[in-house]
Amino acid sequence: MKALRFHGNKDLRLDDIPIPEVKKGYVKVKPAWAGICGTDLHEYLIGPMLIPTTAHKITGEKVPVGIGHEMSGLVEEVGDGVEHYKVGDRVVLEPIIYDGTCGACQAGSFNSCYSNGFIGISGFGGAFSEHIVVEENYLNHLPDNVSMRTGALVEPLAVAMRAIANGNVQASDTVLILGGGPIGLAITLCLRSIGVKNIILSEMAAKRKTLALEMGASHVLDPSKDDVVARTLELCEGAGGVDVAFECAGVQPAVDVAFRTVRARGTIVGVSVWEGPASLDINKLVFRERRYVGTAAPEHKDFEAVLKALKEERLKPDGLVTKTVGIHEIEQEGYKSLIEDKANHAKVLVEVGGG
Amino acid sequence: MKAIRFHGRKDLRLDEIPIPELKSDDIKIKPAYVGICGTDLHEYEDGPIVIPSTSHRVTGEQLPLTLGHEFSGVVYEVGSAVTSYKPGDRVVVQPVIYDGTCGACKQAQINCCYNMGFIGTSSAGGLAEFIVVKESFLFRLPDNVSLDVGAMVEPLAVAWHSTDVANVRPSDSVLILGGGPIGIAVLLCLKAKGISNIIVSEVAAGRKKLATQFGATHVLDPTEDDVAARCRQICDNEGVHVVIDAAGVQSGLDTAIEACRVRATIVNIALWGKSPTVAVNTMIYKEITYKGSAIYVQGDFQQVLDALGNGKIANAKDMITKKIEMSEVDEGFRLLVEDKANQVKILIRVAGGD
Repeated sequence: MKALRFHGNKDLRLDDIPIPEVKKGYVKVKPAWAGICGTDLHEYLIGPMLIPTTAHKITGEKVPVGIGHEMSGLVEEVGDGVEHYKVGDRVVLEPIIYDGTCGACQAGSFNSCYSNGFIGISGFGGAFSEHIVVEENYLNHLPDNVSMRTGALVEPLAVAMRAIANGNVQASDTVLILGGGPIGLAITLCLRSIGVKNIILSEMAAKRKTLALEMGASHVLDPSKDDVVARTLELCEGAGGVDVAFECAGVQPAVDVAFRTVRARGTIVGVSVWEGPASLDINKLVFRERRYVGTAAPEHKDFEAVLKALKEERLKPDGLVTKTVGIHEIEQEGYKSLIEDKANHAKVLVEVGGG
Repeated sequence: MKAIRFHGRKDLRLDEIPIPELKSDDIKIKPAYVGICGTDLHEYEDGPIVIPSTSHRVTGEQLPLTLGHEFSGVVYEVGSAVTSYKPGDRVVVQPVIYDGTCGACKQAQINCCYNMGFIGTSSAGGLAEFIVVKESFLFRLPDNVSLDVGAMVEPLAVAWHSTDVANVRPSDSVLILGGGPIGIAVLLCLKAKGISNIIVSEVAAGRKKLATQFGATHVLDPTEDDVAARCRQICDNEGVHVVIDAAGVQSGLDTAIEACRVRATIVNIALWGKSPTVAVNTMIYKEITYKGSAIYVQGDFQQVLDALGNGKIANAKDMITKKIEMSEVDEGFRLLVEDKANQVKILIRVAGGD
């Protein structure tokens, strides 16, 4: 079968490899649509970082590995003993890999497993392939009224839902989102789906600012033109700041703004992964008793929240998709647009073809 | 009356100033003991920083200013409209001045008041023969708590509040960074709340000894131990549930992030001279919550006083490493700057007593 695999820094190849065996407890899925993630881009440009170069503790795999973890697909075959899926089921991948035995797992924090991995990063195949074979617990059912194309957006939306949960956002809150990339925009959508109306989003790129308004942001600020801190505080009318700020840019100016715009006892949620350390003005946490909370990968309950919101039509994320590409042009059209024309893109989906 | 007033950097003077007037709703107190705080030291060394050089927004006062915001005293005289206190009552003063109208105050978050002041940095403090305050600033000192310990209620309240912010549960393991006056106060407060697994990280010999004496289960020295690795070892190979940072240094924060388990809470009390660089990805992957703790809130003073009265906060007196007279105040400041390792809390005896 054809499978896009990561061989090294800037080295993706559409390889011909054997179709994996459908063992007991495993399900064979034909990927329909799959998204390219910021992490995929990072690995391509400056990796391998998360992608293992020595045998991964759980998967046992190392470079080359299959790529793609934001996936919807169609069940084509089920192994013996599979309980929850049958041929023809429409499914979404839940990619976090955990060992279930380490201290984090025993405390229920599977997304922080000490041997943490991702399907499509650490092994077990990837979504940019003609087939993927995984154990059934890595799958979720896609509701009948949700398209396969939308299904490929479930994973990044789950990231957004988790960030919102960690921030303990209430519907009446005023929220600031720093960065209008796919995650900042996904957070905007998910906030709207739970009834939040006052959403300020800070972003420079014209297309992304437009998308932010389309996704339901109430105000869009441009850090290259506006004094984001002053404008945000103005918009909070004496409350002293926003209730929650989401840091989705991964750059120093963004976290500085977050630390200055959150009200007393408000929350800054760290969502973005950084390329280096951040300088944090801790005194700003002290004087207003603010808190900063990190958000790791989404867990099962975050996927459930997204699937429920999609089924109930509270969440309509298709506007996040700015381009679709075929499996043969993932690098040349997909990665390239996201790297060289980032400002004009949010989510790029690969039409793998199944379902 | 005599008063120690801050005139500028490294410029404290024993001045003769008028005794403050007593209005009908005021209470005149004779301060007994006054503690020197890190903030006072900072003003002395590098100030004025918070001490106002021009009229303070809330109090209208400015330097030269009488210092002293950690103090106990005895009521000397009460205004005609005051009924709840009488001369001879032993009291402590909660020094926070808040405006009641800003965004934080409107949410009852007076410890985050945007225009916050302090008796002793924004208006005349307790380093004087007399001070006049309104009732709302006073708390009664239990009969079985001496006046010198009363001068430590304020820093103990800072520590107490941080343990509330950290939301420490009885079975949690806690790492305290720094065994200075605040770190030791945190240790005492955690013990008072029944927390038994407390690790203290500190370099100075005298302070390490005090930490052990006050009941820390482990005392680690970052110059000798790999504190993060030891914390993980000590705590089921996972790490601590809570870190309370009373040190405010880069290496301490680096250690905290590695010493704590997944979904732990780090509470920062310390004020930082310059912003640290933070391994933010580790905070993201471990879903760490990092919270600031600002002074104390309504109720903390009373909880500390109750815990001192019923013995739950035990041996607070042992935190006092020296008592000096008003005339020796420069020496007190000097010792805290140059002989820090051998001092925890230095009290200035004003009227003294008990």
